[in-house]
Amino acid sequence: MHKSGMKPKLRLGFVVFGVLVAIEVAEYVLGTSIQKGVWPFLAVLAVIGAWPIVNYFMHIKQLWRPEE
Amino acid sequence: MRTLLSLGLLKGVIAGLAGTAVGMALTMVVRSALGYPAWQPDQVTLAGTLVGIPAYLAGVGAFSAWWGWVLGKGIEEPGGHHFWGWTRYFGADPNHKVIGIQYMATSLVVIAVAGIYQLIARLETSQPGLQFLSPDTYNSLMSLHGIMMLGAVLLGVSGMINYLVPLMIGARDMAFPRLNAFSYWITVPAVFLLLFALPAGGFDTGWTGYPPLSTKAPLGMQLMILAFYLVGWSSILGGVNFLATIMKMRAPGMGLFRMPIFVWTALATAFLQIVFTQFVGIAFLMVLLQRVLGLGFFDPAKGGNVLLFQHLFWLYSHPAVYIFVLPGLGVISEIVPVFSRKPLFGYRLVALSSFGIALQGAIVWGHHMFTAGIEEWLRIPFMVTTMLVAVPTGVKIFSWLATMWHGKISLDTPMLFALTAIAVFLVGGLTGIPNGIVPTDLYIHDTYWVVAHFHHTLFGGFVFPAMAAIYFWFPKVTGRLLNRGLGKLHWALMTVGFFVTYEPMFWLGLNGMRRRIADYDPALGLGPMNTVVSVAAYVIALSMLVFFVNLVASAWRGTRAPANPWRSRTLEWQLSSPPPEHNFPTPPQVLGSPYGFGIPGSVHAVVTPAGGAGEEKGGLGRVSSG
Amino acid sequence: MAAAAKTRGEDRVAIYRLGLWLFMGSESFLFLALLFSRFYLQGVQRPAELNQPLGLVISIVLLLSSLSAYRGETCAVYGDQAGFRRNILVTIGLGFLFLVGVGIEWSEGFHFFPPSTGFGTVFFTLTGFHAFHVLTGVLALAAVLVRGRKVQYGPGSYWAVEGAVKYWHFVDVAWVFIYPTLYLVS
Repeated sequence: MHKSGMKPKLRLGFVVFGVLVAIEVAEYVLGTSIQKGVWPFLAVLAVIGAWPIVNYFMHIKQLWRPEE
Repeated sequence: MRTLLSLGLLKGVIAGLAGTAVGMALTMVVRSALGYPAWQPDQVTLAGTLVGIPAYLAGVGAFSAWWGWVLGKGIEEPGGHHFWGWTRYFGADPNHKVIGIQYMATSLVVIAVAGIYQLIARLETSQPGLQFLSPDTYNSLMSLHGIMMLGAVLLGVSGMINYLVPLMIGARDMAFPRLNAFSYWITVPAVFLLLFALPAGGFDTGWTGYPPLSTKAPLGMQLMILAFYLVGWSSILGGVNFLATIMKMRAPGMGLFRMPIFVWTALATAFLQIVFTQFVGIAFLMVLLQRVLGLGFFDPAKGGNVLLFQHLFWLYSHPAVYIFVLPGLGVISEIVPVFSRKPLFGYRLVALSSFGIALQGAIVWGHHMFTAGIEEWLRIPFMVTTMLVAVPTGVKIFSWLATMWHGKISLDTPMLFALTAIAVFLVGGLTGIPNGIVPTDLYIHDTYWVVAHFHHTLFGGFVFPAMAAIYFWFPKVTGRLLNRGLGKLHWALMTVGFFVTYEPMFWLGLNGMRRRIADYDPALGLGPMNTVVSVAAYVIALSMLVFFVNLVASAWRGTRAPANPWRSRTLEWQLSSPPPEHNFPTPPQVLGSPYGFGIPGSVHAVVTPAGGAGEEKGGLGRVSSG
Repeated sequence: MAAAAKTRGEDRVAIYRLGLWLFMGSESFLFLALLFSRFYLQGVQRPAELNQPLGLVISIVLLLSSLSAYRGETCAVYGDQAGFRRNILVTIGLGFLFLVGVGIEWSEGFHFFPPSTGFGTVFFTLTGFHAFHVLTGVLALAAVLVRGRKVQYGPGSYWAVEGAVKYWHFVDVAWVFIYPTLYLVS
């Protein structure tokens, strides 16, 4: 495996991290500004936040497509 | 003496006791340094076990391969030493057959102890009035009987799955052999903790350990919680292992719908184990945290709610019933076709029914709480889901009946036990209906009706099938046949003893006999029937004694067993008895159904015999039909 | 072991991977039970004294550690030993930083909502269980580092790193759900 393939993968890590921080901050803003009935939005945001980790960091697809 | 000292078990016990002492001493030093009285039973014993159990595991040798791996050493092949001496069974050995036997032997020991506890308690209730036990001792014996029997069932289930599944799917071992040894060896301290529970004051909650009683019970409660937690982790890690093994280690050609039914039930069991055991683990940990650190989960004054425990507990403990019985039902599905010489009826539906039972078992837990004050609107949904469990269970019962229909039935000992199991399990299922229907349950909840019901399901779903399994696979495991006469005597005594013990309990329950009591009102007129129940319970014990004698005598002096005494077709019978160290020298080729009895030309698999014998005999051993 | 596996056509890494996912799946039910307990006992109540900004900070620290863990794994996959070692060390450091944050939160918590109160019970249990998982994750990463001194990770031989890093990400995912449940719902 040649090392040239490493660079784009490392860059992808930063993009995913940026998205995750954005979601976390959005949750924080929602949670501190809205006083009532905010939990459904937070639940949706948490699921949206968990997905990139599971998909890009944990490579769940390798379970059924081992070639990646 | 040197052999004795080299035993992993002995080293583990010594290290464990030393670790426990160190942990307890440290805590007491810290407590007195902080100005508290040095002795506080819950905290000090908890700290002792937290140090003692890892020390014990290190002593047994459960960590050594992993530790070497961290240091960058290679890992040798599991069971590389071809050594069948008895010392092998007392140390951390990664071979699945060794571990299966270890599990089963431990299970039988625990069953014997738990049985003796209940025999003592049963003497007390055979007459009204208090004879020789205090109510506290009675409750401790009865509670320990419950929890130890359930632990023994979990061990027995793991034992059967461990021994049989890799053989049945044509694998060389489990997916994670060392994890497998670890899962077994953490159950041994659990057994010790349970044995210590009685001298440590016992506990009076029943096996369920409901708070608030369990948050105040004596030290025995805490030992029971720790034991439960260890067995729970063994169960979870075992489940991971079983699932990975069945999904990834099957022999070529062994499609999912060519697996023996026992493997299907093991798959469903493993799924239940890894999903639901966590719930009961956390429920008991919450009790522990409240006892030791004063958290407020179940204390209304601290914002707690006891119903939380019941939800989490039954969310596991109802599916746990299917963990207990599914492998047993799988054993019946293996034995009935062999002794009827007919293909299993409705193979695909039976295979999937295990998953039907597993999934439905997950959504019925509320039926244990009809009288506990759960929300009114939850009662009807739980009642309906409970009734629906009858559908996949019925699939299995009708499959066995249709398999036997017009079959050439031979009433050998395994088949006798399987037939009793079917009858008992059927009664257990039918008597569960009044428990699942709200109006009748409000009346019979916490009476002997419930006791009789779940003993029917556990005897029908585990005990009788496990006995059938032992009589069926003992020749494979040991290479010797069990004594047939003693086997039939065991069967006759146990069947009669069982029915005379538990059928009257329905009547007792309906007439007002409450469970978990040492004494009852003589005016109820329940004395004579209780005496009958007690006498019959001793008949069951006698039958077990016959069984143990048979096991030991036959393992020692029994007739040599051929490779396939029952003319079964599944893969394990195509190997020598006992099977070679790594099962199949080359992977078997699976070609068709395991149950094609009497179908011309039907072949389950082509197995190359061990030691290259295939070349000498000029061909491959084919598994013929009939 | 490797030789025996090869003759049978087993893909050991695929088996390890499945086993780890099953284990993490089981663990997720533990956290599910704890989250359920929070809502069952306390509804969506939250004491005003909870330090919400600190919660955000430690969340971002944990996300950052997931990034460095990912980078360490990628380096190991391509055989870059120095990059692997550097990134895993950073991950372990960030893990400890997260634990320090939880410690600060706990010392404040003991004052305003001690463990013997309703919210304190669920708060200390949830964060405690999560912190324990962080600690085991740190141990796993450290074990992989120690093994890396003897063994060269590279293409086709990086399962150890992959496994430890996967577990680390799992601990992060658990926090993604725990953080809003404890700090933000109201």
